[in-house]
Amino acid sequence: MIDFDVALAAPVALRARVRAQSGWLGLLGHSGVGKSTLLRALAGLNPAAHRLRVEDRAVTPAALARRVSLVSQTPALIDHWTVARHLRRVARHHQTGDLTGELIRDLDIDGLCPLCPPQLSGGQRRRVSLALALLRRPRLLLLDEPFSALDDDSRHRLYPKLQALTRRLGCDVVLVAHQIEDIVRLCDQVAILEPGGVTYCGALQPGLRRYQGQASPCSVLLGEALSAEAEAGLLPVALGERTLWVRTPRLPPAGTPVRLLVHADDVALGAAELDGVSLMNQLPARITALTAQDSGALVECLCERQSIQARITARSQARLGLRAGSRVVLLFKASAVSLLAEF
Amino acid sequence: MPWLASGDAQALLLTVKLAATTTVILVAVCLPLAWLLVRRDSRGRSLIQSLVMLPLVLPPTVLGYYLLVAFSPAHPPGSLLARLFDQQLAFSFTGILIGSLIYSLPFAFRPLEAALQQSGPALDEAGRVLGFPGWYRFLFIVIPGIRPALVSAALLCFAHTLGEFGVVLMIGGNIPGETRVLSVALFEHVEQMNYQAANRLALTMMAIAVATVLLSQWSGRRHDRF
Repeated sequence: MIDFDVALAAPVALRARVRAQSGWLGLLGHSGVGKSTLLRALAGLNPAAHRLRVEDRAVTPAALARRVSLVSQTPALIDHWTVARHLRRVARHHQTGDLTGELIRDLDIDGLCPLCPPQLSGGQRRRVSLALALLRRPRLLLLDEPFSALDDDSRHRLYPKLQALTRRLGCDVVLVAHQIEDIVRLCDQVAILEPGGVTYCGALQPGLRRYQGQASPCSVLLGEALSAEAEAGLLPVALGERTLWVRTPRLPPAGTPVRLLVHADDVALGAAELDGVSLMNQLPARITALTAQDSGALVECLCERQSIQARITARSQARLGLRAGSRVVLLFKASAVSLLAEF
Repeated sequence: MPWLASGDAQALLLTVKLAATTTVILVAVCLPLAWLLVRRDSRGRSLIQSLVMLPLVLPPTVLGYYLLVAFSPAHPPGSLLARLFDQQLAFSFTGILIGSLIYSLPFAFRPLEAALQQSGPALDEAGRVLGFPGWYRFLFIVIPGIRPALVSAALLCFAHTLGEFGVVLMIGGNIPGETRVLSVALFEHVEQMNYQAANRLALTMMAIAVATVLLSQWSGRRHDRF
């Protein structure tokens, strides 16, 4: 259970009450709203926190610091210690020597052990910090943009390892990530932080829909990989009775549950299915809601009991005569769908 | 014929003992004091800083005079101190040690405070993020992290105490083996126009000063390489 209540006066005034299931919680919010400040307070590093409650009990920053690990945007390491000394001393202090070998292997930091932090690249620093944070065997792990210095390949290799490690150690995670894909990839639930406090805490999909800070709204779809018709780079995914095509270099085995992301700007609406077009995905759907936006509308559709958003212009809305309850066809290319997770 | 006469060699040993004791005590006191001031932004901070810096601007003879008065058994602080140390402080090694501690205080305090101000909070936070308790962070993370400043403060304090004259003369006078340090011995040789002995003493002090500076630079370079 992730359950905390934090009130801060400085540097940002906010009150954050979060109650979520155990696992990974994504923290969404605009720049400057106080995400990093909140994480610092939760790690016991903000002396200005005048209210700190965890699981309905008041706690001191020192008590929090013992149970919570933070990997910040600029990971704090001790410049005059080698990576090996960091690992040795943290393991000795927290009596977690049994974990060291596994973390070194999983986070691929074996070659970094003789080096000091100033000799590490940004990505290497992050991996060392992640290893040290997990080596403390924390109850709660706070990750503040932990993947920003990593390339795509490293991120994709790291995700499942991190998920497996946190599951094995039984620690919950609060993740702040600039890339919405990282949140969708790793988290089942999100909290939205707005000026003053947390305004939403709950399931991922409604949370993403509610999150107004996204320049491009997106939908998360849950499906099941099919392999019978798999072609090079194209993965068929069962979405209820329908098949969705996804362009991806990774082809998970048939039957694997997968999580997909589609940006609303990449989805077009049609009155009927089209013939003679290269579009791979044409899904019949029903409009459940239309929300007027700056120069158009955000259209909420229901397809195979899953919600998909499309953003269209006011002109298209008028031309198609769209309103709640209208039947439409969702049109998008296979390359507009991102395969985010296999689980 | 030895380089230094036996009386001068004795003065050299006494001076090194005085400087080493002063350095060890000052570093041990100034480190936690400076850390406390850096970490707590209290109203008393600038008052303590001003008091610590006072010996820098006060003429040594003035400081020596006030200490001599304070050490007098005729006055309450002197009688109290005499009871505490179980001896007369004026014209004793303990007396000149207390004088040296006060006189050299800013030379140990300033570099340590500056280094702790600059690097201390970041090192402390790094240690806190790794879950180490406060005493551990201070002893094993913050102090090793400011090693060049620590060495520099110790050497500066040592060198400054070696050349101390006014305070020592006022408090300690010139008692061989007890308060007769190198600078007082040098002054005595000059007074007696014994320039050969004076030259040897002056060269000895110069050699120690140069060695101190070289040691300080070597220590800084070693840290940079690391």
